[in-house]
Parts: sequence; C-alpha cells; structure tokens
Amino acid sequence: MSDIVLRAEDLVREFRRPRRLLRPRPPGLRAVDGVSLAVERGRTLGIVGESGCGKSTLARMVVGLIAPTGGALTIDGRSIPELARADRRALCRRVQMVFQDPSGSLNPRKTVRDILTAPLRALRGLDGAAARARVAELMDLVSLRPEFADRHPHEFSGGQAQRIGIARALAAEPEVLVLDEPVSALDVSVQAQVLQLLGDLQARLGLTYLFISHDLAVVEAIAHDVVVMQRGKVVEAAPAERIFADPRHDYTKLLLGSVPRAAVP
Amino acid sequence: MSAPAASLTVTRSARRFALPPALTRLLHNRTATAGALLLAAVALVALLAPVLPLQPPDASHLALRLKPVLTPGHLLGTDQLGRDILSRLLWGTRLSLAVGVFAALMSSLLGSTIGLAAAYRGGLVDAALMRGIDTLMAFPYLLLALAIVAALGPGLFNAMMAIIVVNVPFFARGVRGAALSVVRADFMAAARLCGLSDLRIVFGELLPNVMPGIVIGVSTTVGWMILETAGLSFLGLGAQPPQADLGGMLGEGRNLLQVAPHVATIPGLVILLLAIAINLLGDGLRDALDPKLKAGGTARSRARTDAASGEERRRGLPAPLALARLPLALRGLRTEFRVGRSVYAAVGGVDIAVARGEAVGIVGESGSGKTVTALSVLGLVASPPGRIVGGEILHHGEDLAEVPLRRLQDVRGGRIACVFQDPGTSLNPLIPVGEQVAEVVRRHAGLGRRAAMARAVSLLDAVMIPEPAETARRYPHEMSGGQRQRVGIAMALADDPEIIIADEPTTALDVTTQAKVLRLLNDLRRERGSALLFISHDFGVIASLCDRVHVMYGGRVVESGPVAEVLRHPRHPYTRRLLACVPALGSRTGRVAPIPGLPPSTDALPTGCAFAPRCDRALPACTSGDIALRPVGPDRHARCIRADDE
Amino acid sequence: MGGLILRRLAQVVPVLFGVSVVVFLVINLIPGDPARAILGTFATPATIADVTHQLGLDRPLPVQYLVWVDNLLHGDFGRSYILHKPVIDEIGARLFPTLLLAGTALVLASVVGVPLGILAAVRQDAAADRIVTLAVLVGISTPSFWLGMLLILWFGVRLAWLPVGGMTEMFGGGGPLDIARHLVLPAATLAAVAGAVLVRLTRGAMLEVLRQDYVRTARAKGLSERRVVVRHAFRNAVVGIVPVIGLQAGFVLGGAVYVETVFQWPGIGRMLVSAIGTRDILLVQGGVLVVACAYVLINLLTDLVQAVLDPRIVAS
Repeated sequence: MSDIVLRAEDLVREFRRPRRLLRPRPPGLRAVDGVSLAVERGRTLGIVGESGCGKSTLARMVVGLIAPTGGALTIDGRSIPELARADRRALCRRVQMVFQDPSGSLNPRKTVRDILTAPLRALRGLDGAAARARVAELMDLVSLRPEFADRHPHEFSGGQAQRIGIARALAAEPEVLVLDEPVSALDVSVQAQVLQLLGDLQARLGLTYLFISHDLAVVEAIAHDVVVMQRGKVVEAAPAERIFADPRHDYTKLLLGSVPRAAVP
Repeated sequence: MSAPAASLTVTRSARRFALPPALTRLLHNRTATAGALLLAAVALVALLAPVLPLQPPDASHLALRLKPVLTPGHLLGTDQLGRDILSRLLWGTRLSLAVGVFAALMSSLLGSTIGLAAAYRGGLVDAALMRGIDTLMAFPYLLLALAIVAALGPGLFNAMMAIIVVNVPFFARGVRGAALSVVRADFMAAARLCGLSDLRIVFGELLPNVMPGIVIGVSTTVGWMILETAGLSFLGLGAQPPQADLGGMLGEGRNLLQVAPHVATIPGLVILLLAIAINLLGDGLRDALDPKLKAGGTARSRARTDAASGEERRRGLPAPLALARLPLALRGLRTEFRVGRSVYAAVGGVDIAVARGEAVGIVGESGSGKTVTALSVLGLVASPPGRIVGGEILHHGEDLAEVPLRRLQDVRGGRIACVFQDPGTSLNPLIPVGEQVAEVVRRHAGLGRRAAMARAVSLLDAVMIPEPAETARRYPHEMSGGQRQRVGIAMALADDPEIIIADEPTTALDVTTQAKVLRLLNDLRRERGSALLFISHDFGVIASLCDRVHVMYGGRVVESGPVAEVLRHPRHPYTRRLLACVPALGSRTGRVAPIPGLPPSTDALPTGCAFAPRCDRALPACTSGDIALRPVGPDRHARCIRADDE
Repeated sequence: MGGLILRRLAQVVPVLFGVSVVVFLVINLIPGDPARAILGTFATPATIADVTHQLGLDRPLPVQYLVWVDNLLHGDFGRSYILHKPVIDEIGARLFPTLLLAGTALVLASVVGVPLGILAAVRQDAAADRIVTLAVLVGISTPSFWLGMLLILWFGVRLAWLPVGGMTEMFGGGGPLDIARHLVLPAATLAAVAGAVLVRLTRGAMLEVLRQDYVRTARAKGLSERRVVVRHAFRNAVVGIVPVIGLQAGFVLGGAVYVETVFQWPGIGRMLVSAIGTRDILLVQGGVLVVACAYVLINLLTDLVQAVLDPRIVAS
C-alpha cells in the first residue's frame, strides 16, 4: 500500500468569461478540466505542458490560492479548499510553494530576515532568538551565507533569490512543496545549482514535490513520475523512466520530438 | 535580454552609501535641490511671520491707500485699505501653504484608502468604489468644487473641503493602479501562504510598495492644491475678508489693475514661485522614487549607437587579414555601458567572422555579452548608456561603426537583417502585419505600395502563414506568438539579406512552436543563401542550426569551433562544465553537475581568466595576466592556458 | 466597431445617472431649509411654501429625484428667483461662449503642446528639451487668473492691441471678427496651462514609446529616423495622448471659470460664480449639470477616437 499525500480527483477550475452586451455569457474557460492525480510521499511528480495547459492553475489550487470549481483535492485525506477556507494556517503548514520569478516573489522592501521570519512567526509560533536561530538554519539549509540575512532582494542574483524563495517555503516545515517553474527564469549553470539543491533537500527532509515545468529535460532530471497536460487535461501519466523512453500519447511524442538536443552520439 | 541596460543597472554599489539610494538620488538632482531650498526659504519666512517686525496684516490706514512699492515703511506698498502688502503677503503665504499641504494630505489619505481597498478586495468592492470614483471624475474638476462650495457656502474651510473631495478620485485611481500591479505580484501570494492576516498583508506588504507612488502624488499635488484654493479665494469663494490668502489678495487687487497693478501682481508672483518650488521638488522626488527610472530608464533612444573615433577603436588591433571580403567580421569589438560611476564592459574584445551562407552561433548565459554583441553590429544598442569603444564591425571591409547613418540604414534590413527575441513586443501593435513587412520591401527594393504589399503577402506565404492575404491585414495582437515570430522572420527575409542576426528568436515560444519556427528559419535561409548569426542560451538550439559556435563568458569569447566538435570535445573548462549543467533528455543516468559560484559582473571583471574563480583547474597563472584566445586545433580556439591538458 | 460604439454608449448611461444624482444631492447638502436658501433671506413664508411644493421638497428623496429628472427631460431646469427667468434660458445663452472659449483653448493647447512635446522627447536632454521643460514648469505653476491679468495689463492696457473684456453680448455687435478679437487673450490664457500639461504628457508618452522594442525593430529595418519617429513612435504615443486631451477638456472647462471672470466673458463659468454669490442654487445646479454632461460627451468622443486609433481596444 503506497502512501498518498496529495490526491486530485476529477479536479476542475473554470474561469468565467466577461459577459458581452446583449449577448449570453460565453461558456466558462476550463483551465483545469477533470484532472486526477496522486502523489506519493517523498516522491516527485513532474507536471509538464506548454503555456496555457493549466499547470499553473493546478499549482495554485494545490496551495489553496485558487478554489476549484469542481472535483476533490485532498492533502493527507483532508480537503484543501475546505482547509483554505476554515484554517489557512493549517494548510500552509502542510503545503508550500516556490514561484517562477525569483525576484517577483520576494517583497523588494523587506530584508531576507523579515521575509523568512514572517512564516516562522505566523505558522510556527517562533519569535525573538528562536526565530533568529531558525533563520540562520534555513539560510544554511539553502547554502546562503548567514550575513546575507540583512540584505534586500535586489542585491541578489536570480539563483540566490530562488534559494531565498525555497528557504521561505521550508520555514513552514511543509510536507509538500509545489514548485511552479522554479528554474525556468534561471541560467543553466544556476539552474543546475538549484536542481541539485532541491534534490538534496528532498533526500534530507523527505519532502514531496509537485514539480511544474515546461522543460522536459529538467523534469526528467528531477521527477519520479510524470504527468503530461494539454488544454487542461492529463493526456499521459507514467513513471519518468517509462514516459521518456516510450511515450505513448501523440502529444507526448510531439513534445519529446520538439526538444532541440545538444547531445552528440 | 530585450533590454541589456536594464539588467546592468543592478545597483551593486548601493550598499556603500549610508543614505537610502532614493535620498541620494534626490540630493544629486540639482533642480530638486533648488526647489527644496526655494520652498524652505518661503516656508521659513511664512512660519516666522508672527515674530517678524511686520505691521499687523489687517490694520487699515485709509490715508495711506495704494502706496506703490518701496514706500518707506511699506516695502511692497499698501492696498486699497492702506494695509501693508508685505505683511499680508507673508500671512497669506502661511495660510495658502498650510491649506495646500493639509488638503493634499487629506485627499491622499482618503484616496489611497479607497484605492488600496479596491485593489486588494477586488470584485464587487472594487466595482462599487470605482463606479463612485468614475462618477466624481465625470465632472470637470473645478465645477464639482464650485457645486460643493455653492451648497456649503463660501469660506476658506468649505473651499478646502471642496478641493479635497475633488482630488480624492485622482489619488484613488492612481493608488489602485499601482496597488493592482503589486497585488498580482507573487510575493503577495507568498505572504498569504506565510499565513499572514489580510491586515498585515495590506500594511506590511502592499502599502510599502505603493508608498513611493503616494509620496510622489502628494508632492506633485500640493502645488496644484495651492493654485486651486487660491483660485477659489480669487473668485471670492474661499478666504473671506478681512482674512486673506494669496488668492484672496489677487481677487481684491483685480479691480485696481489699472490704478495700482502691484496689488494684484505681487501675490500672483508669490503663488508662481511657491508652485515652481513645489513642482521642482515634486519632479525630483518622482525621479528619485520612480522604479521605472531605476531600471534602465536612463537609456536613450537614438538613431545609432555612439562609437569612439575609428583611430581610437583601431588602436592595438592587428592589421586586417583576409576579412575584407566577408559579409561580417567583428574585430576586437568592445561595447561598454556607463551607468553612474560604473563602467560595464558588456563586450570586451570579440572576434567573430561570418562567411557567406554560414550559420554561426553565439552561446552564453545572461550577462555574457551575446545580445549586446549582436545589437552592436547594426548600432542598435541604446546610447547612452551604451557605446562602442573599441574594434571594428566590418561588412565587406566597410566599418559599420563609422559609415554615415544613411549608409547604415541601407544595410539595416537590407544586407543585414534582424529577428528579435520577443515577437510580442518587437512588432508595432498599431500597424497591420502585412504593412510592417511591406515597409521593408518598399524601403529596400524601392517597390510601390501595391507591389510591396503583394511581395509581403508572398513572404507571409513563404513563412507558412495560412491565408497570407487575409492575415496581412491583421494586427499583431490577433496572432499567436509563433505566428508573430513568423512575421518577424518574413520581415527579416524581405530583401534577401546576406546575413540574418537572430537574437534568441524562439526563447519566448513553447517548445513545439519553437521546433517549427527553427526549422522554418533554417530552411528559408538555406534556400535563399543567407548566412546566420544565431544567439542563444540553449546548446540544443545552436546544435540543431549552426555550423560553428562561439561560447561567451564575461563579455568575451572563451571558445569557438565547429559545433559538433565543441560539443563532443570542449576545450575550455567553462564550456565543459556548462554542458554538464544541461540535463540531457533521454539520459536519465546521473544528476546535473552545477558550476559553483556566479558569473562575474562586467563592471568588476577579474584580471586574467574571468572563469578562474569558479574553475576547478585554475592555476595561479590564470589570474596573473590577460589570456589570449589561441588556436587549439583545426578551426578551434580556446581562451585557456590549460586547453591542451587532458 | 459598431458594437464598440454601442458598448461605450451603454457605459455612458450609468455615468450620466451618477452625475445627475451628485448634482441633485448638492441641493440636499445645503444646511437648513433649501427653499429658504434658494429664495434668500427676504422670502415670505408663503413663497417658501410655494417653492418647497414646486421642488417637491416635502416629498421623500427618491420621489424628489424622479420628479427632478422628469422635469429635466422636459427641458425644465426650474426658475431662477434672482434673474426672474427660467434657468434653461440663461444656460442656453451662455453655453456657446463657454464652449467656444474652451474649444479654442483646447485646440490651441494641442496644436502647440503636442509638437513641442515630441520635439522635447526626440531631443531629450538637448538645449531644446531643457528650454521646453523649463517653459512647462512655469506653465503648470502659473495661476491662470494671474496670467490673465498680466495679459490684460500688457496687451490691453500698455499696448492697447486687444480689447480686455466687455464682451457682454455674443451675437450683438461686431460679428465674427469682433468675437475673435475678444477671444484672443482669454483663449491664450486658458491654453497656456493646458498646453504646458500636454507638452509634459506628450514628452513622457513619446519617451516611453521610443524605448519600446518595436522602435528598435523599425530602426533595424533600415527606416529613416523621421519615419521611425513619426510612423512608429508617434502613432503609438497618440493612443496615450488622446485620453489626456479629453482630460484636459475637463480642466479647460473648469479653468474657464477663472478666465471668464477675469475677462468678463459671458459664459457659464462667470454665471456660476455670480450665481453662487447670490445663492441662486437652481442656476448653479443647472449650469454644473449641463457642463458635466458636455464633458461626459467629450470623453465619449475621445474614447471612440482612441478606439479608432488602437485596434486592440476594439478586440478587448
């Protein structure tokens, strides 16, 4: 019996389109259209798709920033939309998110210490010296020098900023980390650093990842299982080894065939 | 890398100053300082009015009516009741200043509250609040104030209330706009995920980011408020006699204009000075606080990039060899950006040659100088801050950095064409795409309007746009990203160029679209015999298109050679390690191997090899002096003293 | 396009409704008894009762509003108890002079301001830009009522080139040429401030547009600078400038109040000022409502012009 942490069943998110004058409201846009998936504890589920396939909407539903319009979404058997409504902090202690744009996800007017202390105080009840110690631990965890804590986000490169984003997510001590295109804004050499860090963290802390990306090679490098999405629907789901070696759905094949390859025989 | 200057202006030096950067910028702004000093002087005198040896402002001496300026005892003369104008002026300034500042603060407070609430809550709250604001804005500004004064009755307090109310919508609109862009930022979502309450999010996260806008709003509105309250007093609806603010004095002087012009003109002059001082300071504050100006806002838009004189640029260059006949040969190209006191050597001596029909790639990470190299060719780097300080850009032996502008414009889009990174922003949104293509044809092939359009349609057909005649009439926003980039390619192909410079043309596209666009670009340029200079961060893309590749790091080429050989057997440690960073699809064998550390900033390049600090094979010799790009095999070059080690 | 006009027209309806409610409520803001306020201190109880009944002030607020709107739609704006004539007649006589003055000023401001703004942007930081920027600073800091007086003093009194006022009857005397002579100084006064604002905004819009990628594309195509600036940059800047001109219409209509007072121009602005002085509330109400409606229509127009210029608006 496998240990499922996160489960979506027939999940739907519809966005209403604006009504036009004297005409009936057009049918809603189904950004996520009946998605079912399950993530095992301690593993990484990669979600791959092109822009507009609904992967980011899915990510935001998992952390409770957007409410689904249909279907079920649970973490540890408890409904995420319900938790988001009734006890957001309990949800935030279970699942956290790392955003795509490393600098856009850090408030430019705060120091790193402020940014890391906020979740410690609100979610973990840490204050004063305890919080200071924990900030230092977190900085160490993501390999940032402790003296960086009193700097502002604009003083950091993209890769460093993304480490801060990861540290903030870890401050809540979540079981599940939703990573929404965490390396696509980074240069390859830095991207590799962050991917390695994410791998190490998973091994050390037993985290479960929902890793969202448009880059198949990156997903292959980090994910255990892969889900391919197209226009709000899952078109193929399989273990990573299988899906990259033997893609079955036409769209998966098209995606794989489109990646320009540097590798030479 | 659409705005190379933007990424360069990261203020690494900010920490050296004790003062906040905004204040530093304000103090460096001479006009703002002048405004602040002027304002401070006026305010000081006005504040001191009660203790200065002045006549009482309301004491009338009918015997001393309408004395001119410089009358003994009455420096600025007297008014129709024999009151001392200087005294009334100072007391009036005091009043006008106080009313203006208070009104600006009040309406910014009210307006900002409404704007923040509307932006943060969104939905119905937003709709309701903004509908109300729209209604107030449907009135000509002053008329609403008049209506309010009409109802409440004339008087300084009522006039001030009216001015406050009519200014609330401007603040509400402005703050809502600014707040909306903040509300959509990821850090707001992150704050919610940190479990913060709404109140803490609004005051802790949202407000500090909107505050500069509010400060700018207040500082630019105070002057306006002073003018408007003065206006109402001038009309007799504000300050009531005998009390007078500046506007009231003007109003009283109006009827005496022909008899005693100084009674009306002097208060007007003071209003003007006050308003100028405040506006100068406000503009200075705006420049200091506006984030747009911080990020690349200093970039100017000129016809071509500035270049140092030919003599200066050629100093130290070896004599040209066989490059004269090549369509493009960069020799020791150096392009710099000057931002404040820092000089960024974005391109630090690059040699790249492109032969007829050849496809040459430049690969590198952001900040490596690849885009600036490409933009320098046709002088498209924004100047200032950009400047070509060294080297030559040879097009069949002709140095494009010094040909007359007219000649450069003949080459641009004609012999050498460009495809840019983001098709969403590089097409003009207001011109149908067919016309944008036809424009190139008309410019270079000299065809008439109709013939050019026909050629544009056939070009659109060539880039596989369905229903080209139909699509030619459409606007960029009506097309998908892939379609738009096809238009960009059609534009570049319009005059059968010798070389196409493509700067990350597919980076903004989805992977399946990218594959199609790349194939198209490659097929067409082969068909037409155009050479290609292709800039990318992606080795895979370069490998699928190019014959030769140049790897750039820290503004210089560190390795070059045939693509397949560079990939199979990289000679520079940076190339080798960069390749190891790229997760290769279909080889789920091992982990990626990152390079420790960060690429250097080009304003503080280390001596010697720029990669040495991150290199596991570095020797002391690597950092002791300049390292040349040297041949390391047939058609292979590397900038590494250990390139031959195995 | 037709759909867009319909949509915009539909959006005007709630705005006009809001405007009418605000204007209507103004009378209810009056402290104490509105009827007494309208009639002044010398009113007898009988006339007060009469006016109270006529305005429906003894009925509930929503009913009052409906009665008022119904009257408006029948062209009945009430009666001025000071001028002893229907409000609509007085407004009718004064609307054209105000629109003429404001319109002339707006055209003048645009014709001078927009090209200067372009010049300043294209020559950013050069001498021309600095001179224009300085002029703009003085322009936006100048109180228009003071500028008007200076112009009177100089051109009217010192040089005696132009009449300084006394335009009492628009269509009484000297014909178009006389009107034009009287119009020069007030229109110039009004245009100075509006023009300064337009220069500043045009310059800003041009600088913004000149930084865009598509301007670089235009240069990369080998187009001449002239074509780059006019066809690629200015066309895009205009999209931002048109609504600003609409906004300036509001400031010009408001500023007309000062200028009409200084030059004794027989427009609505001067009427409003004297009506406020005599507490002629119904006249104020009518005047504000009519000018506000004119302004709403001007904004509708600029909206549509903008939509013609920018295909993206029709699409959204």
